[in-house]
Amino acid sequence: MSNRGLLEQLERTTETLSHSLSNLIKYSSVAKERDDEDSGEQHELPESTAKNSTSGLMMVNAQTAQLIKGIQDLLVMTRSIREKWLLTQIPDEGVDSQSELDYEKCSQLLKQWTQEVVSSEE
Amino acid sequence: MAGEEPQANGFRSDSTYKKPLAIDPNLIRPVPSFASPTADSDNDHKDDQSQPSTGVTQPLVNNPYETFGNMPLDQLIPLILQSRGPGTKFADLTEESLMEEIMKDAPLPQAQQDSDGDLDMDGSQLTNDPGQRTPEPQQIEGPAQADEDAVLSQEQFRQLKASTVQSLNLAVNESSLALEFVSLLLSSVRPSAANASMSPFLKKTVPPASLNAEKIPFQKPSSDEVLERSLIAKGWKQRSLEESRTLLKDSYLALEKSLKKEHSYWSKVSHNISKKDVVFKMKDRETGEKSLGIKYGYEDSGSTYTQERGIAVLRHNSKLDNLELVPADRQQANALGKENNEKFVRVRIFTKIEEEDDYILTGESHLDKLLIPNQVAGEQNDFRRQISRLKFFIFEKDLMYQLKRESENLISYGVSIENENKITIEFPTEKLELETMHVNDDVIMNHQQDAPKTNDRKATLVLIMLRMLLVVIYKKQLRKKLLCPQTSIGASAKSPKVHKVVGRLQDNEVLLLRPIIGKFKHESYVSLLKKIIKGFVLDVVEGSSVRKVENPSNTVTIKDEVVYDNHIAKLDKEIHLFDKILEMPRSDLLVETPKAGTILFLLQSSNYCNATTGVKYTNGAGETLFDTSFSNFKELEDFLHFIVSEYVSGGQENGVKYE
Repeated sequence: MSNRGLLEQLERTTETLSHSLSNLIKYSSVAKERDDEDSGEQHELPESTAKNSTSGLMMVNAQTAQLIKGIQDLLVMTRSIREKWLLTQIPDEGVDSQSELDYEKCSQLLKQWTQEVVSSEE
Repeated sequence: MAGEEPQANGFRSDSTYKKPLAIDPNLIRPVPSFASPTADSDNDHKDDQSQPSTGVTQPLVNNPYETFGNMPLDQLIPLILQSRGPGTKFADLTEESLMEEIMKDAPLPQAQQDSDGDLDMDGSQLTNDPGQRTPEPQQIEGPAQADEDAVLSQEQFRQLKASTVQSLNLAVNESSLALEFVSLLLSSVRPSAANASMSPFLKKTVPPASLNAEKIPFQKPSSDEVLERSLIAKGWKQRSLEESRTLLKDSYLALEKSLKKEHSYWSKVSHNISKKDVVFKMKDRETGEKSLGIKYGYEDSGSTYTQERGIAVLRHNSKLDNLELVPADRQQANALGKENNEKFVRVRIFTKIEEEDDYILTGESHLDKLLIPNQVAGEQNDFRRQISRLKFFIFEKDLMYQLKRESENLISYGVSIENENKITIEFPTEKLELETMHVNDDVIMNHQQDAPKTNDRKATLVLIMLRMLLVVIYKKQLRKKLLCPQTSIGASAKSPKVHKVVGRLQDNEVLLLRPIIGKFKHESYVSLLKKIIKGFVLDVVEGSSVRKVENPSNTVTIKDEVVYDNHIAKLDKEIHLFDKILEMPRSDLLVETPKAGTILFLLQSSNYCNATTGVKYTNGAGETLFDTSFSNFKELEDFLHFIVSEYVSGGQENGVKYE
C-alpha cells in the first residue's frame, strides 16, 4: 500500500473512532435522557423500554465493536508499515559486496590442495 | 413488536384462547371445512406441533402452543419420540423420569409434549409475565447463543434451525395479522389509507368499516409508572454500558497482549535480520497466522535442488521470548511423524591392508563447528546460528543428492551407491566413503573422542573440495541464468560467444566426484605408466631418461572476455579459478634415448576416470614413426616391447638403416 493510501486509511480510521466514541458518550449521558423525559414525558414513556433496550443492544454491538475494530485496524496498519519496512530493504551495494577475492591466493590454495590430497595418495 | 407480544401471548396462554376474535383468520375463512385432523397433520404440520385442537383446518397461523389434545395415539407417540431425539424408546418413558424432567425444566408449566418447542416456550414465558422483563444479562443472549458454546450435532442444528424458521414465520404472521387488524379498524375512518394496506383476502371476505372501536382517552401514567419506566431505562442503559465496558476492556487486554508480542517480535526481527536475508510474507500453516518467511535454501544462488523448499517460517516463541525458524518442510514432515532430517556429509578414508585384504579407517573429515552444540548458554537459540544451521543442512543434502546423481554413472569406475546415505569409491589401495549422517549426540561424541588419524586432513580436504565444487556448479548455473534470458538487442551480438563459453564448460554437468577421482586415478595411472616405462624402456635402453613435460594447453587464460556486467565478470573469474581442478587430468612423459630419438607418452582421460595413453615415437631423425593410443596398459606394454626391440634397442642398426 502506498504512503498516501496509508495516510488516507489512518484518516478514515480516526474518523470512525472519534465518531463511535462520541456516540457512546452521547448515549451514556443520563442527564440528557432526563431532559427528554421532562420535556416530552407523555410521548416518550410508552416506548421507552423497548427503545432503551434496542438502543442499548445497538450500542454494545455496533458502536463498541466499531471502536474495537478501529483500534484493530490501527494495529494492522502498524504491522503493514513494519512489513513494508522490512520487505523493501535493498542490500546495500557498497557494504554488501564481499571483499574482493584474492584470486592469486585462491589459485595457490587450490594448487596446494592438489598437492596435498593427490600426493598423499601414494 | 415487543409491545404487542404480551397481548398476543396473553390470550393464547389463557384458557379462553379459543374465544373467537374477529381478527382470528381461522374464523374468517369463507368456507370452514372440517377435514379430518389426521390428514392435516400428515400433510402440512408433520414437524411442528402447531395443529390447533379447534378442529379448524388449514389455519393461517401455525400456532405451536396448541395442545395435542385430540391427536390419535399412533401419531402422537412418533411425535413424542421424535421430539425426544433419536434412539429413545417409548417403552423407556416412565412416569418418574418424566416427572424428573419436568422438575428440571421447572419454569415450564406445560407438560412434556411441549418440551420440544422450548425455544418458543421460553419466549412466551418471558413475555407472559411482565415481572420477568427486568433485564437479566443471560436473557439478552438468548438460548441460541448459549448453545453455540456447546458443540452442536447435525440433528440438534437441524432442529434449532427448524424452530427458528418456525418462529420467524410466526412473527411474520403475527405482524401481518396486526396490520390487517389496524387496517380494518382504520377503514371506518380513513377508507383510502386503510384500503392501501389491506390484503386482497381481507378485502374480499370482510366489508370495510365493519370493525369499530371506541376511543379511550390516553391515560397519563402514574408517577409510579414513570419512575419505574425511567428506572428500567436507566437499568438498560447501565447494563449496556457495562457490557460495552467489558467488551472494551477484554479487547484492550487482548490487543495489549498481542501488541507486546508484536513489539518484541519486530524488535527481534530488526535486530536479527540483515538486509542480506531473503524475507517475504507467508502464511504459517500450523497456526494459520500471517507471518514472515525467510529463505535459507540456495535456489537463488543457483542450486537446482528441489527436494526441500528451503524456506522457513519466522515464528515468535512467546514462551522463550525469542525468534525461531520452522522450516516449511519440517512442518509437513512433523505432520507425517518423520524424524528430523538434519544430516551432514562425512568423508572417511579407509586404507587397505595388503595381507589381510581388509580396510582400516585412517581418516575422517572434521565436523563442522555448527554441528557441535555450543556451550555458551543462550547461544543455542541464537537466531543467526539457526539460519546457519539450516543453510548448512540444506547444502549438505544438496551435496549428497548431487553426489548420488553423479555416482549413478560411475559404477564401472569403482563408485558404488551402497544405500541412500552412502557412496563408496574404491581405489587400488584405498577406499573413500561418503556418507550422510544424522546429527545426534553419539556421532558428535564419538568424533570428539576419536584420536586423530593420519588421513583426517586429507578427508577434510576432500570434503571441502566437494563443497567448493558444488558452489562452482551453483555459480555456473547462476551465470547461465544471468546470460540466457537475454532480451536486449545489444546482447544478441554477444550471445554466440557466450554460448561458446557456456558450451565448453558444460554447465549442466555435475562435476563433483569425477575431478577428484580423476586426480587420484590419474596419479596412479602415472605411476603405473612410469613403472611400465621403467620396465620396458629405461631398463632396456642404456642411458635413456624420462621427464615430465608441461603440456601447453594447461595454461589457458580467459582474460579477453567482454565484460558484460560486474557480477558476471566476477562469477567468471571465480569459476575459472577452478579450471585447474576441473580440467581433465593429463600428463606428458617424454622418454629420451641417447641415439634413437624420443617416445612421448600422453596420458589423458576423456571422462576423468578412464585413461588413454598416446604413444608417439619419433626417431633420431625427427620423423614420427608411430602415433597411436591405447586404453589398455597390457597392449601398451606389448607395443612398447615391440618398439623398443625393433627400433630402440637395435637402434644402431635400425638407425643406420634408416639413415
